[in-house]
Amino acid sequence: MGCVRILADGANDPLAADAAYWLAQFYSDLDVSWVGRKLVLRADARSESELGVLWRTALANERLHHAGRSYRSAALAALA
Amino acid sequence: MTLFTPLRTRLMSPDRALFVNDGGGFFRAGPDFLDRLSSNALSGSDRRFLIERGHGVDDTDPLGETAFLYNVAERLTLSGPLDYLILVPTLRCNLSCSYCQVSRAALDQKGYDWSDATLEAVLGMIDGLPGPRIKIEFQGGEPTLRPDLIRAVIDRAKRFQERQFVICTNLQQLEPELLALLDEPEMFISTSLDGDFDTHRRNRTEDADTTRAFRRNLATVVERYGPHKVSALPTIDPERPPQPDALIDAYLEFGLESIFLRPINYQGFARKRHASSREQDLAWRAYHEAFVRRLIERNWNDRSVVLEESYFSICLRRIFQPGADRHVDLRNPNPLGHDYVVIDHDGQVYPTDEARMLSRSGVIDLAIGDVHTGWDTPARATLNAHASNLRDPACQRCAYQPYCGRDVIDDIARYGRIDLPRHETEFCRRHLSLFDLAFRLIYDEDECTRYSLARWLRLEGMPVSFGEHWA
Repeated sequence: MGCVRILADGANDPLAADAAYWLAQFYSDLDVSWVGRKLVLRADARSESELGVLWRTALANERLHHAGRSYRSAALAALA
Repeated sequence: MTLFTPLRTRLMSPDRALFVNDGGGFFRAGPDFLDRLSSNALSGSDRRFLIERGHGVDDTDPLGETAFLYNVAERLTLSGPLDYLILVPTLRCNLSCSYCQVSRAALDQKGYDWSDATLEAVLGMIDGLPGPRIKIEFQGGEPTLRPDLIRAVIDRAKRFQERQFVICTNLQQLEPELLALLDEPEMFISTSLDGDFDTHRRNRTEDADTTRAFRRNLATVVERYGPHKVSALPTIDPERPPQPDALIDAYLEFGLESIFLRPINYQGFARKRHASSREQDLAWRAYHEAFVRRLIERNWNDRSVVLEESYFSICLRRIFQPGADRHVDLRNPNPLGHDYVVIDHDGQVYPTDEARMLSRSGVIDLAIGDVHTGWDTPARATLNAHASNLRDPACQRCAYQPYCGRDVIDDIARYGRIDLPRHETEFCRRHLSLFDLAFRLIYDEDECTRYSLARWLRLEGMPVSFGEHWA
């Protein structure tokens, strides 16, 4: 079983909080919890290094989402 | 210049992430690229790669932006004119399957066939369709109990330049009047084959004589018309799935190479008798993947046949072939009551066959109108207000959004509501799993896998690879 503890400020960093929330929704094998300012990721069939990459993927996805939100809305409005 | 990267990402393997742009183009990259992207530290070659492949849009390049919008638009379903009808001339049936999805009526019950007035209204409606295409599927009940009604409809539809008819039948009887209908070149046959003799008997026909009659009739129509005109699909009890080879062999016995692996649908009688069918669990997903992988092995070992799991092929085509959106269970937006409708035995009009089943089961009335007075109604508008995945917060973050769809009726069937967070729905979990498998296979370097993918995508040859990698 892999387990990583990641220093992230879920209380003051909405991006990290959102990324952690969506991580738990999109990867059903993950156990995601907060212990103070540490995000704890656990999964039976993933190594620590994979969990680390998974967190970076989740953060990147959330950043992409936030960065592209207004552009996407405008694009869809243009198509409509 | 500002580079907009309309990308979403999902981890595929311990050190590789998949990136998909809003137009459905995709590539795979490692953690280093992930970090450069996250920290706004893309290299010159990163930027060139993203722009050249349509994964990035430079705000000083109007042509690039137009190309991006075009790609996004190609992924969206445009609701065309009504050209696909599912007609239910009778709800009566000569079988009583435990998982019957529509709670069919008994053979001798009255009031479950189209009345003369309903038939006239259906024919009048067909007269008013713009054409030039029409597809009509006859469902039931067992529609072949009323070949006269089927004949009346197809005679009326002869004026369409392109026409296709499908009779969904249990093939228990093959009377001359039915054979004359099947002889029509535009007529196709869809039936159910649950597996070998014993499995089919246990699930559907109940006794050996009835089972033998079905198998004899299936062999007859395949021999008479060829397998291209006959399709079959199994309904599978996820708690007791057959061995993949046993199911495949049962299909090959009749020359049938496409298998739509369909677990019991949580509809009709199944809601009571197979309550566990509400959710498909990890065991089902593992079974489905093992089945697909077995097809790949068998296709490679015997290249004289191309075995496929039909729904998996549909998912693959959604990835590679924008505009492949006539499979009405997987498209986005999924306009209801526009380009296809279901007309029931009593003239009621439903947006989908599942909606008809829910109404018949007494769960919720999802009729959007009737064939006499029309279906441009507030009920239809209400359903269509929720028919897209574009504005859903989960879908907006999901790498598979451009390929995926929306099925409001499925949510109502399983949960009685449509506002459940999308990632908590069976539809979402199922398609995450299906697209995960699709991309594992797309990036599988094994020649056997590429061979099957090429066949399922109807390609002539075999590409060197199906997906690009960026370091």
